[in-house]
Amino acid sequence: MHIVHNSETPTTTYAILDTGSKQVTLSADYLFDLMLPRLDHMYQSKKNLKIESKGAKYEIGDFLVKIGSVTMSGHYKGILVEVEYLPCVTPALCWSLVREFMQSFMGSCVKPTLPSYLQTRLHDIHTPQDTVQQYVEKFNEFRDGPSFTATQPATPAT
Amino acid sequence: MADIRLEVPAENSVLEVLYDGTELYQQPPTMSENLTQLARKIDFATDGEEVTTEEKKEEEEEEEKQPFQQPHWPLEEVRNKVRQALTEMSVLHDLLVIVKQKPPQYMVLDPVHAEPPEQKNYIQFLALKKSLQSAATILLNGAERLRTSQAEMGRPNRTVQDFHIELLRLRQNWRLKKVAKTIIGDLSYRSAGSMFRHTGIFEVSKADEGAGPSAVVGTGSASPISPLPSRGLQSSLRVTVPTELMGSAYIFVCIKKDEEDICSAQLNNCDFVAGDTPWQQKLEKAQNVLFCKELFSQLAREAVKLTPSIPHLVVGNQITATIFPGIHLLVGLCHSDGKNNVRGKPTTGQGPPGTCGPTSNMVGSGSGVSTGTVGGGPTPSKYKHEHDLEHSLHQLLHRVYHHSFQHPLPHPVYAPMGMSKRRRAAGPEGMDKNQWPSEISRRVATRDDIAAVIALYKANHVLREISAQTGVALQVVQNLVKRFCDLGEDELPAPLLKSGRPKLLSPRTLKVISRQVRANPSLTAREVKERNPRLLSHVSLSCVQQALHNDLGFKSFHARRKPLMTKRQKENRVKFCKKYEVWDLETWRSVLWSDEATFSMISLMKDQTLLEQIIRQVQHNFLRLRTMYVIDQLAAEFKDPLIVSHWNAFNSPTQSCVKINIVTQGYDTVLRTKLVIHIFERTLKCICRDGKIMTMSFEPQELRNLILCQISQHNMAALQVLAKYTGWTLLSSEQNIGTGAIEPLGNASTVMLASPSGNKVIGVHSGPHQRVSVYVSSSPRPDFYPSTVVMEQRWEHLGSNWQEVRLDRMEGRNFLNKMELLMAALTA
Repeated sequence: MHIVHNSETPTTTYAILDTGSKQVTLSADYLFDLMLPRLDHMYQSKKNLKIESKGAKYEIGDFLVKIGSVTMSGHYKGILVEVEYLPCVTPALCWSLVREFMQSFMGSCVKPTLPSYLQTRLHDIHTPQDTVQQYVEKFNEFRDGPSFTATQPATPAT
Repeated sequence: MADIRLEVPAENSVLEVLYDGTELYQQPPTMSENLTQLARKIDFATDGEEVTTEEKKEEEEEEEKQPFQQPHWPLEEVRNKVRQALTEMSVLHDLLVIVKQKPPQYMVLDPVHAEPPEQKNYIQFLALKKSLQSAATILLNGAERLRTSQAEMGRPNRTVQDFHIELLRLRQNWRLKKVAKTIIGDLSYRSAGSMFRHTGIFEVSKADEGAGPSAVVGTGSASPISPLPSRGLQSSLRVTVPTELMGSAYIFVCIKKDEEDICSAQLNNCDFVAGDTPWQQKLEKAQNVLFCKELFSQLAREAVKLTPSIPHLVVGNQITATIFPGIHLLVGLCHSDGKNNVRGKPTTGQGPPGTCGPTSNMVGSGSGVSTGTVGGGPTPSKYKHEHDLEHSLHQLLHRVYHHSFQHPLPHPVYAPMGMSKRRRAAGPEGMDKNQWPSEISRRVATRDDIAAVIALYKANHVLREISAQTGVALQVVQNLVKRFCDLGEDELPAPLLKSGRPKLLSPRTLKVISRQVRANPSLTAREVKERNPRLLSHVSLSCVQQALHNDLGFKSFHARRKPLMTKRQKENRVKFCKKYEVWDLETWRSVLWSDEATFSMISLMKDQTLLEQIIRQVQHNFLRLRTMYVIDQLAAEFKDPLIVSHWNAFNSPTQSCVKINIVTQGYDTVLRTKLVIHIFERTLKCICRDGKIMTMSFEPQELRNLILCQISQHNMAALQVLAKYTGWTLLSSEQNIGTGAIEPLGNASTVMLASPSGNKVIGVHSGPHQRVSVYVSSSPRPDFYPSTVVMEQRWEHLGSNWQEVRLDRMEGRNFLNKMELLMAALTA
């Protein structure tokens, strides 16, 4: 189980449960954290695992770009770029636009194919939970694989 | 955050100082050395008694004289002492064994008689006496106290109560707190959920001795009538309530029509508070005033914030809202501070007739206006104060309090109290900072704010609380408190000076200029400057212009040049107007919006504000009364079919229901026309038995028309059913007949009936406005004469001319009765 906090939604705590076949996301109030010590018998916290992505947020027209440097327990791991297209809620409608925008300043490291997360959810409405789930996926990649720069598009609306 | 460190100073004594300045410290004792020292201190010889200091000193000296031997291991001393104790114990044991031998062989124990102590009888006697005396004094004190309290209880006219007993009673009802030397209490509704700014603090003090009751002297046989008026219990406790909460207040709610003047209301000294002690009454009244003030301020705030089509008017202590065109709701705060001064009456156009003196024509008053009625006469107000609406307002505010602390179920147990609904939803929904703002906007502290902050600080509030209550930022509060303390806690700190270049024209000058310009709007800036040489000579013309434009807000306009209208344009305009003149209400209702419509997006925080809710209730109330009036009027007017209305016993504040039965007297079983009318806030919905649903507006005429139409249709339908009973055949029935005179509303209907034998035909024509007319024709014609065109005799069987029946000359209670008699008469 992963516990995630997003500074964009300061009052929310996300808990993501990763059972092999599916992923269950819970978004609860911030006070959910106080309940975690009670769940000690079920979930023991791994002390060494704390990944965070910290950085600045930039606004260009309708796009929101958040560039964060990922650190795992104090060790630098890589860079994560989050691009948000504000007017649109469905990935299907604006994926190409977002990809072109990313290619304009990141060049070739943006793959022309859809990221794996969005492939199944192309026509659903993007929620803050989707953002957080994408982050968790990327963090997992950081944790397991070698450090490399990965990009991550997101399309929620305000 | 302060950084605090603990350092143990180097206390080790210096053993030696070398020639190069370094110091050799005595090493602190190691653990084993420490233990040894402690163990040495244990002395098994003493048995815990207090040893006098001289004996201690002797022991210490003895110890010092002994050669100081370092023990080999820490507990050696302890071991030695224990061994000594063992030796002694063994000796004792051996002794006892020898003594206990049955035939005493070696040792015998002889009892030794102790010397009897000296009998100091006298000293014993003195000691006893002293102890008995102390016990006796305690008992006597107690007895004295009991006697005095018993005497107090026994007294019949106990008027002055003890301060502390009163204080106890006060504490049972109100929250009190002791601050420095004063006792202050809280009478606001803050703990119940109110968010009002006023703190509601009252002070409790001892009443003066001189205010006690006058001595009851000489009520013996000299004066048979008691000279004392029956006063209530005088209390030794006095309660000081803030001046703005003194007196009593209530919220005045009334509905008035447009053409009449704005009403005026007087407040009498209605002592509706039921408290037995004077302070309880006073406090309850003050609390009521606070509640009314909060309610009114909330309504006023909403009235200003909301933007309905006809804006609400907030003037002084009065809010006017339009509920229907021509009908206004008036909500006013009537507050009289107990000196017979009515503050904040609603405005007066013309004074009410009768008792009070001339009232001035002020708009919402801050100063008092004496009414001339002293001490409570009845209120001769022109308009009826709606008590149930006032009660609804109170209830709505209570509901607001309730919601600020309580959450509707289901709510999580672990959530803290006091979270708003929005904040509670923010977590699971993942709201970001735009949707859930939490910053307070910055504003400058004014003199009133400073006074409030200092007052709260004096009352020993926590700074954070002060910041929350007054809305001033925490840093500013801290700064103000610091400056206040620096000034010696004497005077209020002045607000900080504003930076920048000071203005050239003082506010007084600006007022002078504005008065002149308002009196004569066509003054130019140059003329203004010339008129006030002494005030404005030191400034330039552009300074005056800027003052007029920016500070005072006088802007100048001139009419725009427009092209003239052509003849064709004029015709088009008239045609447009004429086209929409004839549109009726229904057609207008089909328009959703037109060009330049305004939409107001009220924030999602609350579903409906207090003012909207009360307006809806008032609208419904008014509509219900109007409907009642219309139906009752119609029932009184029409006796022919009776109109019976049953109102629902269970209503909501915004919806009622009435069932109307239209029935002819004596013919209840023939036909009963039923209607149900639902009354909402601005519309009525009528459901007929055959399933037709009609929605009407608030105009009373529409309901009247509807019922008239129903009446006429009832008559026709009942006639048809009656015809079946009497054996007459229905030839034709037409509900909306196209012939005859046009009805102003609805349609006329006709029925044609044939007699059983077929020789008579009755035709009835009825409309909502026209009266019923009945015609009879018989066949064969009595007046048939064959002519050149119509030759044969058989044509006489065509019906004769229609002859009208004079229903008013006929016998019969009502229309159906007359028709029955007619049919009976013609069936022969």
